[in-house]
Amino acid sequence: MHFVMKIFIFCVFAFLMACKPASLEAPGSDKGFGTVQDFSISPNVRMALYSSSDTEAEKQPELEFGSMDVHYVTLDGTTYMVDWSDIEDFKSLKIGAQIPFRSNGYLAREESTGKNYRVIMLNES
Amino acid sequence: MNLKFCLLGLLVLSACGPSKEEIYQEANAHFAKTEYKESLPLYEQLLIKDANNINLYPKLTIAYGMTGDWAKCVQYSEDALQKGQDLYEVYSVSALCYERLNQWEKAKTAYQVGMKKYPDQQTFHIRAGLLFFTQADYETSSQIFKKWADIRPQDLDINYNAAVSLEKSNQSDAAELYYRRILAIKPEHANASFGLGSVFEQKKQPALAIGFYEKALKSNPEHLSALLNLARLQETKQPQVALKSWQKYLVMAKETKQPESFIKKAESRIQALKGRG
Repeated sequence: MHFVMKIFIFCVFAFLMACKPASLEAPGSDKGFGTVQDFSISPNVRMALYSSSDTEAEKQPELEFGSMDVHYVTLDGTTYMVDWSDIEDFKSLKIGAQIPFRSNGYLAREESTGKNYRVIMLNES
Repeated sequence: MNLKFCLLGLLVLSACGPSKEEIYQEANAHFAKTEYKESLPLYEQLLIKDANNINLYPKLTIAYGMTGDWAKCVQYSEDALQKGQDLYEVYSVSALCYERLNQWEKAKTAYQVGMKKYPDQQTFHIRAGLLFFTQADYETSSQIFKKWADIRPQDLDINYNAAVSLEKSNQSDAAELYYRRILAIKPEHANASFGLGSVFEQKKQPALAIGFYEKALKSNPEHLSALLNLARLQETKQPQVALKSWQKYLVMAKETKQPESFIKKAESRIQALKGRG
């Protein structure tokens, strides 16, 4: 095969690989207990929300990004996004405290970083 | 020409350095691992590089609080609150930092505002109660402890703090209630019996007071305050019994190296009672 042809095929493969849809899985568990290690707020972050059942059914949901104030919490090394209606619990977080949490059924994707987060409700089991 | 090269070099070098996001992530990684000392220079750096990052002020408050730099802790807590970061941790850590700096009024304000904003944070409220108590603001400390004692009626420590604060703020009836609650759970609680003795003294009921001081001594024979008060009350009607109590008190006070004034008082009472006999 001609050298230029080989390069072309390689490029096509590379392009196809790059086109593969990004994973929508998010780290962490759906519910449990975790020790608060860190928490922070990021205002006006472009995020897309999608249902966790879509990823379980291996569907490819359409991601619609919009700006929101995101509240992150790191529990035992995993960073979660805190449910938007759970701000009072977020503000009451104590470093080192062990808290129960459960997923609200959504995952979130941050547009700028491509990171996915599990969305959780704090102090709920 | 050389200056241009230098500037270009600096530009290239600065472009090669870590971005503000990378620094923030590194600082947060240290913070999450409780490596607060390591996180501090990074957060401080970000105050210039990422001035709009509202998380820096609570993080700096907590990290300086955890590393014992009380002055910087309160400085950043004020910035955090000014920027609307009214998180529980900011109140909690800053109140502690004000305490460490002996800035009692500011500590009290941090507790008062924090308690209003976070009415469910028991530990924070109890800390506040203790501060108000040590600052002799018994009215406020009794309100705090009473509230939590009613929420946690089985918690002996909180009920005891409530009872003592109420007694100190001259609310004898309420104090009696909480001391009795403790004795209902733990009849051998010597301090609660002593407290009741003291309450009945306030109420001018010496016979009942004597009974509770005796009960306290039964639970804890080395309860010096109970023995002192008992000896004092016995003097009126039972001088010979009082003499024995004072003698016992004197021995124990010397053994446990009590202040000289207490020892002298016991000696003088013994002398006086012997004179009566």
